[in-house]
Amino acid sequence: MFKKTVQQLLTGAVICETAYPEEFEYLKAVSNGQRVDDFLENLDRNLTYLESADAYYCTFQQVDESNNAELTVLFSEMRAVFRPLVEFLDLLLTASHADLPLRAKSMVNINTLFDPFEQDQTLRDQLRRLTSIKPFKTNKVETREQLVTVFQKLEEMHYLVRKNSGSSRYYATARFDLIYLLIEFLNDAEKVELPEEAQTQQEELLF
Amino acid sequence: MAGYDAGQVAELLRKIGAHDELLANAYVYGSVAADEPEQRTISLLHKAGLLRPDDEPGEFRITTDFKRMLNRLMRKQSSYRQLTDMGKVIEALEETVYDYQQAIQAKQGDDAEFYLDQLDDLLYETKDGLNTNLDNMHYAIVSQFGFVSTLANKIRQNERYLNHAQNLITELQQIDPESCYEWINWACPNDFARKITGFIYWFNQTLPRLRFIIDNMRLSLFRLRRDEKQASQLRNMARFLRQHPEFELSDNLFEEPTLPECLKIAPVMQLCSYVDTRNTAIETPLIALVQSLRKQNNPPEIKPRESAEVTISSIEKLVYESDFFEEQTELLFEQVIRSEEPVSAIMFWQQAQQKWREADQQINPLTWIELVFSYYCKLTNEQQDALDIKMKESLDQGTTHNYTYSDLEICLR
Repeated sequence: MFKKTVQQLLTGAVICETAYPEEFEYLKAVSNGQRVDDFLENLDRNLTYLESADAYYCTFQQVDESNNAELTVLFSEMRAVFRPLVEFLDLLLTASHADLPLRAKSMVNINTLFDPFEQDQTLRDQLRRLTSIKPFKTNKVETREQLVTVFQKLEEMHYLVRKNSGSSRYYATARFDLIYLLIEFLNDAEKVELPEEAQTQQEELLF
Repeated sequence: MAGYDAGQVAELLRKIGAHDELLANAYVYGSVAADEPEQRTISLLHKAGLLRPDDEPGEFRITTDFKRMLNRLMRKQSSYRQLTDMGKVIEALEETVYDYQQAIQAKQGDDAEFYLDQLDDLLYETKDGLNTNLDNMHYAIVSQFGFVSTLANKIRQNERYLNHAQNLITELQQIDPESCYEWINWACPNDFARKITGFIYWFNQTLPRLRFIIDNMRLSLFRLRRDEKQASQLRNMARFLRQHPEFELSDNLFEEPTLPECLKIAPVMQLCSYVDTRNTAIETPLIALVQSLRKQNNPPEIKPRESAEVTISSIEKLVYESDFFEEQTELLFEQVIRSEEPVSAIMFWQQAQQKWREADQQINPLTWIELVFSYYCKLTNEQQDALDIKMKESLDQGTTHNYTYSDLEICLR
């Protein structure tokens, strides 16, 4: 299990209960986690446990010449998917009338989403916009097909997993929580000025 | 004991049982309408104290007592707030204990038994009430306040529960086990002492349980608030991104000194290994692997492709156009190689004048020098290694690195 876990970690897996149950159980045992962390230390990496998402993954120790190029690639990938993912999560919140965003261990049944999308033109427009940009880009015009494409793509990107390939129930992995962390960081580090009052204004309009 | 005989209780229960669905509907949906066929049943249940008329005429609701009972049995959350006033309870207990002690000491057996019964009821109710409270609170945490669906209400409920739990602990702290032990500090009967010590034992168990619940409530409130913050930040971010289509994450975000540890995601490491063919231990599986690769006899799949006509236009013949002076430059280079002597561009120009005039060609010497220079520049690296170019230059007046060229010389290196 040690080998399998380390391989997954080194190849960029975010180990949470949903995505990698066996590796997760393995790392839960303190001695195993310590052993893996000690090993990763040799490769200038740390085993990081994200408490809010109950997940483990590799983090780098410092930026230097050896990893600068790789980090640039990784973060430009993150940059490329950040906007579409935020759009998707926001769209999902609106479509499912939920107030709890999709995160590790949440379940979403794609069948329950077809109706809201079919009944709401705004949602359809947003979905069309979302499927016109990478990584969700598709030529499909049917709302259902577009949704299925988005979910399949998220499954490929390890943001969602299914218990079996035919299921309509998708389970979110801890990767989504990293998006929230990034948003929190951008907000706290004042990289962006997030509009604050809009939310309350919306609520006032509702009642 | 209860003031009723068993028959009366059984009759009431029968009424509940006979109209189970109607009562269940009234409980679940809030009220039932008194339609014609059910008019009699409803007035019967009304008389039995199970239904009460609603503010809306013609509609009936479950009575508060019955609802409370159902709530409690169905683990609904409305009863959790029956705050027990421990001060009063302790006072009542103290009085009963005193009465009991007096009765025992005066050898009034029947009265003592009455007081003991009363004490038992009091103790039981106190314990039961608090246990239900704790169970409800525990259930609320475990179900993550599942009886309300929105995050805002979950937070509100959590805050209320936490407040209530903290009040409970203040209440419970009014019980002082030492003074309870005082109650049995006389030659009291065993069953009385057992009741009191049982109560103290329960109290000692309950306090830590309540503290544990409070800790969990605090944690749960923290998580709910975090969820709420996360959701609002997500929405705000989405709105921000829509307002700022130009926004992109910074290229070197990973170099930010303030980047939290948990966002320092390590880059993917490519893992691969090669086979050590000299290792005899892996010879057998390796041969099997090679064999299996050889045996790949499934022919490559021919994919159906779209075909289209290609129109071929007739081939046009173009005359090779050569440039006279380019050929002349080549001759200059040829001369250098043949004679193995340096050749000056101006000298070559002068010597060639006769020939060029005959061919009706002429070129400005400056252009000629430029042409030779550019020809040299176009040579391949190997050719440039073999040939050298020497510029005849003079420094421009008043400058340090500007030159005027008057001639150039091509020579072998």
